[in-house]
Amino acid sequence: MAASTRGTVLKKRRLSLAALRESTTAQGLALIAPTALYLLVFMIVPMILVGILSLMTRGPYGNVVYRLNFDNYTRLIDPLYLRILMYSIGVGAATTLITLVIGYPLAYYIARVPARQRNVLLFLILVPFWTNFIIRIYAWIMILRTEGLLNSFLLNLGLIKVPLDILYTPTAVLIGMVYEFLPFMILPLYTSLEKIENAQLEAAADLGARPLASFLRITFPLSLPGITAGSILTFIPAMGMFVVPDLMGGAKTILIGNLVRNQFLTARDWPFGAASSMLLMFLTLAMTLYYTRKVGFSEDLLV
Amino acid sequence: MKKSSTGGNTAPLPVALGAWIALLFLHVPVLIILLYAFTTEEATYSFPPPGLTLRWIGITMGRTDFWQALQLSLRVAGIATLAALVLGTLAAAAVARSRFFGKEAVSFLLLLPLALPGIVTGIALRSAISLGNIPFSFWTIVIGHATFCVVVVYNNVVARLRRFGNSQVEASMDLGANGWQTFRYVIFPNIASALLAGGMLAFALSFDEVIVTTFTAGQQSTLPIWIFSQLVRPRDRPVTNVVAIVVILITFIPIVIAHRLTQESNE
Repeated sequence: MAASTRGTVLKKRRLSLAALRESTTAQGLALIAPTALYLLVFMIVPMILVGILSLMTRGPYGNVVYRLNFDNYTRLIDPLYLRILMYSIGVGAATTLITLVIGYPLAYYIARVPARQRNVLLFLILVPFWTNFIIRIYAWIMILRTEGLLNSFLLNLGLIKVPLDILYTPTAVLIGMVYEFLPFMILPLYTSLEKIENAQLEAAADLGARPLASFLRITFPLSLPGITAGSILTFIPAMGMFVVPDLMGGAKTILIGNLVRNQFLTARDWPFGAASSMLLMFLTLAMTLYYTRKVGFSEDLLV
Repeated sequence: MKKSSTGGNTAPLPVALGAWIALLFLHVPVLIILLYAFTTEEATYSFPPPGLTLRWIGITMGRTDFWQALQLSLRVAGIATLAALVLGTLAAAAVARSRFFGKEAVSFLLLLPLALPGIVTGIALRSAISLGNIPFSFWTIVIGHATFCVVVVYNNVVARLRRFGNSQVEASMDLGANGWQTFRYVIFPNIASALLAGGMLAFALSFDEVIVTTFTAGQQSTLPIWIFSQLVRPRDRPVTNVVAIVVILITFIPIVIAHRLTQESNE
């Protein structure tokens, strides 16, 4: 009696496991369907629409005429737009480089302090990371305006006689960009630096390596994934950023993000705006794919 | 956590100095916003502020445009988070538990809304909204936000599901529990804190969003959009600072909770 019950249970168990394995594909598809459908309808289809729009023609009243045309893409090679593209890449690269130079010592420092202090410092990094980016721009506008805080401070001290005009210059745009994206550089840098085992550095020191040599030959190479991740997280959004150039560059600095936005909202040349947006998207995707191939996607990058 | 810092490996002095300068650079501007929410000047700011007052808080509380924007932001973030919790959990269950065709493509698809610059997704939604003759509304904002909120929930839940493995689920099925019972009594208690953490992050992300919202909101203002418009046409400058503090606080409370939850479960 007992034995046969056990036998039935075992048989049932085997059956249910087999069923579980067989149903796993169907189950997976059923589970993924709602999310996949959502992203298909609200992400992929709109992007395909942009792709189609980019091949259409602008009508005389800013409407879209459905006539196939590749001019929107050839227009992007026009020196005027090529310059905007180059300038965007330049601003993105400069932002990335400056955030790296400012961020690396901080990330290194945090990775090396005792655990209790480290949690406090990490929290201090998270504060600007999660402070709304419009608010962070606003802070710099308050500081850099002609009648702003920096000028009033320097004038009061008597260090300058005439207020400095920093806001609405390319320098202001760069300051704003660096400030916006610095936390995005620091966090992945910290993540890769924190993983380096102390034992490796001790071994290097035991074998007679000077601190600089052990930094150049151990720490720096091991932090390369963090540098790549931070650079991508900085470069991509910096290139597409249109709010900082608008608010801090006084619409004098035009990046590719501004170009897209202006074509859609003010010039009403949707097909050309769509083509510019496609260009930005392909640049971004190419870099993201390169990164995921090279380093592998790390989930701790996201939060 | 694993490292005990031994003397030789702490950062050298110049590096420490650079680190503290970077920290100051990160924090002074935010502190300035806090300080000038209490200044007695109303148009131009001078440093140091000539006097401090609490009256801007009262003026902010009396402004209906502030309350409307706050209410809209909270509603949008709430609904977008709910949608993200459902969709993100389902996707995590699918990816962690089963094999199916196109799994790689799906993980990439989930990531896309965060990987692409906001302007690309914003323009795409804007085009779809216009071409479909859909009027801008509360729901067009929510739909845009949910696309990038899903991935945060997904990330948190998928990590948890991978960690707690399949054996408990198999045991529950063996003992005759149906799918719902297994979810309710085995899976859910295990992923509850990951759901909460993911939900909190999704809420903060939505509450904070500006770029996609500029393309999907039409005439309505969420709180960050309200601040944006104040930068272009300022009225009672310190009020903007007070609202900025409100936004920082509302974003931060869920972040801190999420941080606590993830740390507890890691220990």
